[in-house]
Amino acid sequence: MKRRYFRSVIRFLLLILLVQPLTLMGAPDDSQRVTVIRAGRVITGTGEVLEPGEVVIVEGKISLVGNQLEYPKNARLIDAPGQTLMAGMILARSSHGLQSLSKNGTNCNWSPLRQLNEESMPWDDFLEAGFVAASLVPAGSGFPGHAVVVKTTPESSDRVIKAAAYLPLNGRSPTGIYSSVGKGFDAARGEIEKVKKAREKWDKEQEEAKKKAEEEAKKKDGDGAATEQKSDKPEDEKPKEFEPPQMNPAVIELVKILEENDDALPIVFFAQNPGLILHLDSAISSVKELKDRDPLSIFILPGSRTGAFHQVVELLTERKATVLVPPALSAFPDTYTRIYIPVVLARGGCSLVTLPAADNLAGMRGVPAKLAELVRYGLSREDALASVTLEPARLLGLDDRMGTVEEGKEPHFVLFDTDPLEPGARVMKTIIAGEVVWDREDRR
Amino acid sequence: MRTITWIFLVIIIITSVSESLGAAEVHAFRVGKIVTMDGADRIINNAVVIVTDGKITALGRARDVQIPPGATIIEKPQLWLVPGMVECHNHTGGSSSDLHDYVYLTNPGLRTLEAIVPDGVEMERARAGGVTTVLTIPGSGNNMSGFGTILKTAGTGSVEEAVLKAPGSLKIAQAGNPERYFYGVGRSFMNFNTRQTLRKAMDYHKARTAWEQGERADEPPKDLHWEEFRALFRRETVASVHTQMYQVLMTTVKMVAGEFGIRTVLDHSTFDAWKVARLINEDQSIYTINGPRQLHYDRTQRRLMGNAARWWQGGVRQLGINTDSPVVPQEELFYQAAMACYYGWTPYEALKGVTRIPAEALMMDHRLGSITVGLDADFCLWTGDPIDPRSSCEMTVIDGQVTYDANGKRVF
Amino acid sequence: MISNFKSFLVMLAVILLVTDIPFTGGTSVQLAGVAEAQDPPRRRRRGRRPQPPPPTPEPLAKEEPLDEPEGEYLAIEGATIHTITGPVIRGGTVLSKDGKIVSIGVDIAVPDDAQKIDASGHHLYPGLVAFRSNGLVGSGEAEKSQDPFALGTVTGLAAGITSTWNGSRVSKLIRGQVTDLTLRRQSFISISYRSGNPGKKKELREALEKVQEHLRKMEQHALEKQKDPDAAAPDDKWIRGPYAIARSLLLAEKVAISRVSTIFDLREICQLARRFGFKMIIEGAEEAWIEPGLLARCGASVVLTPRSRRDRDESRGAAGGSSIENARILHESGVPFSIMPASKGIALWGLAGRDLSHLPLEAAFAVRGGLPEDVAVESITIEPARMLGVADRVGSIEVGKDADFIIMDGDLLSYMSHVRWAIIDGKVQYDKMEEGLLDHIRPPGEDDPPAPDDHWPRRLGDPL
Repeated sequence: MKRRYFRSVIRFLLLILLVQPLTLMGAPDDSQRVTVIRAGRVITGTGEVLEPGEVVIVEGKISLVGNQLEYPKNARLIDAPGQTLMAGMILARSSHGLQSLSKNGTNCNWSPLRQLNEESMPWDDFLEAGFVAASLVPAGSGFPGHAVVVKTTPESSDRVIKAAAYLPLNGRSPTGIYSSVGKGFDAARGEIEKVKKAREKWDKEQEEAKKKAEEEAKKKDGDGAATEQKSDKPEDEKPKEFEPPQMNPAVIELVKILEENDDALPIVFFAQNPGLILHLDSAISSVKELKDRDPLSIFILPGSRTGAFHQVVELLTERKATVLVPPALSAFPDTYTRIYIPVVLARGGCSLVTLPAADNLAGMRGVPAKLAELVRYGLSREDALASVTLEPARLLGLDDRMGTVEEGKEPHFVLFDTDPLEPGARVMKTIIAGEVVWDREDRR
Repeated sequence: MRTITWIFLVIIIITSVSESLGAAEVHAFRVGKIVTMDGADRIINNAVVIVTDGKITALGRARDVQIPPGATIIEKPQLWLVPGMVECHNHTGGSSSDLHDYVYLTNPGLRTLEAIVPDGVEMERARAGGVTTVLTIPGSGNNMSGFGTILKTAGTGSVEEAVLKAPGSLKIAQAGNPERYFYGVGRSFMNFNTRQTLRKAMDYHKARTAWEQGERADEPPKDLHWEEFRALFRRETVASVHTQMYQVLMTTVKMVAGEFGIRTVLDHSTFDAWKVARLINEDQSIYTINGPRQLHYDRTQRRLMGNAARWWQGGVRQLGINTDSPVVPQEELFYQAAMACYYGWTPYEALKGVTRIPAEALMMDHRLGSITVGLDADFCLWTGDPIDPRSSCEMTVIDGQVTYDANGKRVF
Repeated sequence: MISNFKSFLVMLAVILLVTDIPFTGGTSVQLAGVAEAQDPPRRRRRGRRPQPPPPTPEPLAKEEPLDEPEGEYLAIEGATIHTITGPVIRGGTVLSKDGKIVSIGVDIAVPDDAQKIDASGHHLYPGLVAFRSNGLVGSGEAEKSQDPFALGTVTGLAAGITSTWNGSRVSKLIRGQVTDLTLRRQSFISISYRSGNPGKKKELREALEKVQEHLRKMEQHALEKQKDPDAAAPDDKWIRGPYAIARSLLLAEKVAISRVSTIFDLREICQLARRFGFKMIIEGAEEAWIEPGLLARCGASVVLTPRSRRDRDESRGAAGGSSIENARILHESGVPFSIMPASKGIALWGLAGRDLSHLPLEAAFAVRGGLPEDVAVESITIEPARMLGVADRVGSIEVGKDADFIIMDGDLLSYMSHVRWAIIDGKVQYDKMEEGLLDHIRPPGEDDPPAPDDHWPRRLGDPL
């Protein structure tokens, strides 16, 4: 605690030092403030590399990316000569720092934020590794909850970027999957039926009431003027709205999937071994509503060095799947015939999202080096970098907000001391919303 | 007509009796095929083997070999005559228990000779499986568990009759089992300990030799710990070394065969040990007796490898097969060879690997392992290819005596 | 010269003796061997068990009218076809359509679009049936537990096994899919009736007695009911647990299965089965050869391990222990049996030859004990299929049955033979040269194939 306090004091002092020259130049206006980042190199993620490059941030958005740009003199300048800037990395799946808790069964409404304790959350771990956003997931078998995308800024008032990004589905054994999928969707169907029945009942009641009213009206038709007075009465009362009964919140997300709602979350399946993907398909197609839909296509693969995932490469590339995969996964390791599963998947047209080899600081820190290894074995540089920036943004539905260094996107960046795929590349600064939230210089 | 017959008969009886008075016991085996397993790799069809006093005295095609008068003819024209199999790695010694004393990590001076049972159901089954000689050695629960005994499976009553050579070999176990002796025992310590023991034995041998040759005046005291090692350093007997993976094999070749100059038989040599075949080829006195694991699943290549076949492909020619009985029952020695063939070896070489090669490995090829004039008459009559589980051993002959006949009671 | 003369005399004497004189002893010439050697050592075919009549010969060599050209055809051409229940056809063709055999013969019409496998020089057998196994298919309902990429399935196929019983269902060793794996549900009632557990023995016997009594009452009741429709039915609420088991045995709804080894226990259980008239399968039966008629009389089937080793019980003076001739003796007494190795799984840790990887060689050990080779093959194909109730689908090559084959590069019972292709439901499930598992061992077409070069220490200039 003491240390943390000490750090924040130092950070405050540094901030004052940094801001000092700006205050001399002109009056700072927070709403109009312009920030400029000058880096030795900017990898935009759209295919361009600027050397050197500048990024101008106005009103919390990237307004210009280029070279020798003009910007107001009073702009705040973050100068990083010799460093390489790219879009901040996004972690597509993590439970790092969450209080451990295992939710088994169908609990789609469970938010991992309830396992998050701001006091003890190791945000610095994410920042040190260059991750600006993380999709937190709860642990457990079945549908343990939903993924929540958060900023990794240490102190943040708007922590949540997206309250629900996807539905993780975990199962270690085929039987577990059949039971999770079967039970989950059966429950969802039950809820739909429940609402339907209530609706029918309500409709019936309405009709009966109407009939009754009509009959009464007929009866009183002969009475003449007296009826007219009475018939006005219902018109005064607004027609009653149907109030559907409360659905079990744990399965509402599955109801949305069955009803093909636009805001239905995608299911992301953790395939412990390749055979489970076939069992998942079989389990999903045994749900009658989902039988004729496209099969699931987002998978998390395990980080083992072995694993016969080469057996399902064709299946995954055929459906252009999105795969979340730690870079170590391969088949026939230590041989000349080694197959680097992420490489063959990316080459086959799958969207590749790289996960750390382990869900901890060391794993996250190792991501650039592991990516470099994949590049050595045939992955393109662009695909490698996109697999930690744009592709996870796309998976989480945030590609209009982050993932590249482009005009209009949010200013989340990571700066490396050299090219990120160079051996030994280190994160120097992590910038979230235009603010340096982690700086290696501070650590000295 | 009858009188003529009787006259002939009388002549025959007179001549045979006159010759058999004080003469040798002669048997003639007339068979369909002899797989000699000799140096020339001869296979003789319609052949005869003459056995005199337990030794092979003649063999060849039926029309070339004279059957001495008075010989007992055993006529088996449909059977194959194959040398008795030699088991290089047996722990039963006639009884069904492991002959192993867990005293220290190295136990120089212990001998299985003291514990063997020369007859019993295990020996009977061995004969029924075509095995005529076994090297009974102590187990691999510690690094050095004592000296083994080479004995025949004839099932004779006395140890003296059964034993062919004692000590038959020194059992050394490198890594891959002695770790269980005590917590903390690892490869570094085991190698140090084995080396230290061998070094002491070598010193003793040198001291005694110097005294014997008059190079030193005082007689070093006799020590039963080290006495049996002298034959080993004179290369009159061998060391049977329990090895497994290639690293263990390399240290064995370096230490036992290299540093101490001991004739080494690499027992087991399983898992991926065949990778160092080229290293073994550099010392032609080393024999590799593979088994009982005939199969290695190479996870990296996702291939099932036949250990024997891979040794062979690596150029190792002094290659045999063992059962490690009772790990694999003694009578299934031939079946281990069949397994080696299923996984890529060739049947003739595999048959050699259970007959002549182990005999050579144990330095007993002057007595066993092939059908050659002058060798012990240890052979079996098979209904066909001895490695084929469908063939059966119909008769086992040890030292010229029929010790198993399936016609009386089929054991296996 | 003298010896030549002597041998001449011997020869002459032999001729005379054989033709003329009854002679006993007194000479060193032993003749027993001559007479004895006339008997071929193997292949003793005495009293073969009555076989079901061979299938109608019409499908053989009969041209199937190809009026429905659509469908997936597979033609395996040129192999020696071992149909098991019918004749052996050399150089024949087996045609299957949509996973079922449609014709077998030498000169049959094959549609142009059929997938063809040239199996000349190979032997075609029905896929082997392993009576029981662990780890080859998923447990329970394979559709919900099978790992479609499991190595156990591949090694099982490499051993020639295409169907097996996993304890509750008979499943096929199909890879890469998790549908249509189960042939049928099959469960036996495991009973224990051995001298080591007299309590259990008594329990079972008494349950059978009690339920038999109840069934008699039920029969009486049925008769009474014809006269008096209001007659009260005997109470059957107590038929639960062991009684329910006893009832399903007595009504022949289920088959009992029991592991029995000694002749003593075999006698007891056979007596029980005869008394109560239930069907059973005996696993083990190591000492059955002593009194083979026992099992024949009570109609039991046996699961044998020819090589199993059991010492004679010295405390009982009589014959005992295992015998390699067990299979032959049971066969000669008409006892149906299937053959299983000692281990029910496939182990890759090296101790080769004792598990399901070498199921045919376990059958070869029965041949060693005198069993005819064709019966040995039946004991790993049609016989286990019959015992598992799937003989209408698998176990032999007959028109209408499932197209489950193995194509071997040699005789099934030879220790050098490998499975070249394994086919299930008309689809190639295992191809030795594609699979990579055993492709380096005697690849076809090469007399002296290059070995995989992975020996080291590598030397300069070695290819990587």
